[in-house]
Amino acid sequence: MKRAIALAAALAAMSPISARSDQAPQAIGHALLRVRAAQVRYFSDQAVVQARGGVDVQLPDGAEVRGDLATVDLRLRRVAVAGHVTLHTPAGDFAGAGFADFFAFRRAYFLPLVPSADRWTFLNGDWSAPEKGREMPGDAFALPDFHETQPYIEGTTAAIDFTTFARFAPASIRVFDAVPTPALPVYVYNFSANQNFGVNSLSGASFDAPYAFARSADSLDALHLRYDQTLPVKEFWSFEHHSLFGDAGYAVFSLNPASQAAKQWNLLGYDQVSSRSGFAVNAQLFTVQSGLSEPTSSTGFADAQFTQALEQSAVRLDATQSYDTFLATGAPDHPFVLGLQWTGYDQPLFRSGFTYRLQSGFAHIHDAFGIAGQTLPDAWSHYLGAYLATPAYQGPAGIGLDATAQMQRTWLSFPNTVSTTTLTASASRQVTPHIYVVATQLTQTASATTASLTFASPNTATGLSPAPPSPNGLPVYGIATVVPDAVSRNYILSGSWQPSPAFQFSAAALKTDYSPIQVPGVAGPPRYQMSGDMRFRITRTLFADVSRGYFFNWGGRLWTPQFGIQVSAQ
Amino acid sequence: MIALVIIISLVVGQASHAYGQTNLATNGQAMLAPIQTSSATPIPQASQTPPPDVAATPAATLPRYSGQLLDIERGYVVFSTGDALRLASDVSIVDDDTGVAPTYAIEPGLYAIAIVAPDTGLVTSLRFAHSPRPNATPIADVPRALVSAASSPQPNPDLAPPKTRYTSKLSASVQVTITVLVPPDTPFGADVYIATDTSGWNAQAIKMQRVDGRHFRVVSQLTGGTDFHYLFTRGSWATVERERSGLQRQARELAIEGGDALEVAATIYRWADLP
Repeated sequence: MKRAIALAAALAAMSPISARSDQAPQAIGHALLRVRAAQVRYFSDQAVVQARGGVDVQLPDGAEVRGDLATVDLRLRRVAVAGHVTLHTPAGDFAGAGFADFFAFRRAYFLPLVPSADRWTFLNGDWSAPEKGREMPGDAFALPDFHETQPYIEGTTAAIDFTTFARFAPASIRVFDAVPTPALPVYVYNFSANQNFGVNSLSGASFDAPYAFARSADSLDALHLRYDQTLPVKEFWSFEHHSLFGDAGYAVFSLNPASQAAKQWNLLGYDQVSSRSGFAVNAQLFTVQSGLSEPTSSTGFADAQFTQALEQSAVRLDATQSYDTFLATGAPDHPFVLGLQWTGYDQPLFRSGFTYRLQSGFAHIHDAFGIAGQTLPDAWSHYLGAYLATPAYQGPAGIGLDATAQMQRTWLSFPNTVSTTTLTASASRQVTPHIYVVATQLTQTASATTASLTFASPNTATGLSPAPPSPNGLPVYGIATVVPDAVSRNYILSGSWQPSPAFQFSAAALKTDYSPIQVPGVAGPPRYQMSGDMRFRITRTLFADVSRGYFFNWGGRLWTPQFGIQVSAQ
Repeated sequence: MIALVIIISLVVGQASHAYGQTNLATNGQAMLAPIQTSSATPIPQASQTPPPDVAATPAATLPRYSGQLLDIERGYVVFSTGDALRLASDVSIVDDDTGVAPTYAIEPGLYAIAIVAPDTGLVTSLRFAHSPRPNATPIADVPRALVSAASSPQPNPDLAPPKTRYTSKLSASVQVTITVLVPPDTPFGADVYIATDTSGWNAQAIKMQRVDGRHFRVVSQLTGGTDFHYLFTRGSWATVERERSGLQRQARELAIEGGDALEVAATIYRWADLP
């Protein structure tokens, strides 16, 4: 008897129990799931594709499922088919009531009705030997309820890569969740967790509606219908292409705008050389041309960076080549900057709670036509800088206090020396659970031994960080005054109110004392400013952000020229 | 034999509507509908206008099981729990709110109450609705004897502990608070946003609220089971956060697994556009 029990136990232990195989989600690759039906709809807020009427689903392994209704949950990576289901597999055809396949777990559940009702589970893609009667998860076939929900996309076919995209054809897109567009030939909805598909090389525009029309597992092509209220011709369109490679590499090319004479051609690239080093490139070409005819103006620059992480710091080699013109006309002025920059990581200052960061770098600038229009063809710079930050202290009456300080000195071979400091001290208080008020005193100083000797600084390794960056991507450095020393003291009171995730309001009052000159129309910023920003939900997935500033009649200026209006998706 | 009697098309269309009307006529329930006797709007009288199906049968006292419909076919009604119940040959189909034949197509995803005759174990009436029906026993609790299954039940090692019905744990709304410390060189006037994969990596998808000189936060209600990737930005992809070294960083990941509240504290070490 004991031997019989032992034998039975041994046989049980030897029998394959595939169901006990790893139940952690597994990588499912990029094989496409194809859905065809009288109506294929995508509900963006639940990330579910629903197909109704004569549904035909082709699974990535070639099996086919037909039924009355199907839902594809992009988050669960599950397809469920219900109603008059027929399952066509290499092992045979079956008829039933429901089918559900959890691709990440390699479990397919089927409810046959022929010859009688039953429960079958197909394990690990094996259609030949279902486990019959095996208990199923209670929600294996649960169908999302879209009774009172409008879809974002409607079409008749969908090709779905569970990790990156869904391609609909034809596709009608519901603009602002309300107005459906005419049927477009194809629309690609990108939901990749790879953030490199989000790298945006298109600057400007207060409204951007991307129309992705081509997609593979590692590329994306899109047209962008754009609106920029600050441009003479406010509506335009642009093109952008993404290619991804390796674990973290990408290349993004764009033409923006494509429909106007003044064009910007962009290339952004990045690749991870190793786990501790990376290479990045940023190139821009600016042309004025009608269509693709010969340009009347063509300038550009290319910036390449190599970053190497060290033990508690990192170094970056940064090279920038500028082209004042690519045309035969005009001087072939091509300034070049090569710099090496070192940045230490934030470190605690003993046990004080303070942290500090050190930075330094040196660079060489060459311009055969003279740096910044002057006669000097070559210059060297090196700099040393530091940040010091306090922790947030809790003061009386629930007031929090914190401060940061930044100091930097840059030595130039002209010779010249430029020193900058920034001191920020803030007091903050949570007034209600949804309202925060922050009072800040910000002091910035800049001083140079020779005020007139400044120059263009196309990369940060020179130690002269552009502020603000120029709109064409070529940063131009300049001390904000014509005299050697400048001081800007800002007193800021800001508040923000966020009663719900669907509504946010913030406002700020700013007083600026600037020396040596703060005269309207001559120099210096406005003495008093107020600004407000309101962000609110306009549809289930779209937010509007409206902002405007007021200058208290500074040189005749009252309001900022336009409302700032931005519509974005969440 | 029953399987041959009831064949219903669930395809979007008119067939299922016609099916419901046919059964109502068979049961004679349509005759109980209130009749208007004048052009003026009649005042409903409770004694004169009982729900026709309730008045006609004692179904309200019979066992009632509710769930989401998966299929009606070959003499079965099948729920999304996978449970298949046999249909009586004269099963009636009505709308649960009005008690009369549904004016909508009967299709997967609807909610249904199955009323079972205890003596036969067959479903004698199906009541449909567009929302879950709480006034009946969940279909997951139906006696196994009423469920049709050719194979004997087998345990599922995947389910530990076994889940016999869908629980709401993962569907609960969770208050998520994300607070982030920004680098000391962050421009003071800057706004901080969260870009997520669920927004197509829009760099301004979620705007954060300034708390003090270097902290921002956002509070949101997210559904349990939500799993997304995100990165902090200052409003554009050129100002996205980076690793301490300045190298591009992998996206952060947040999985909402249930509970009343979730606090996430994050630190940004570098911005892409600042040295």
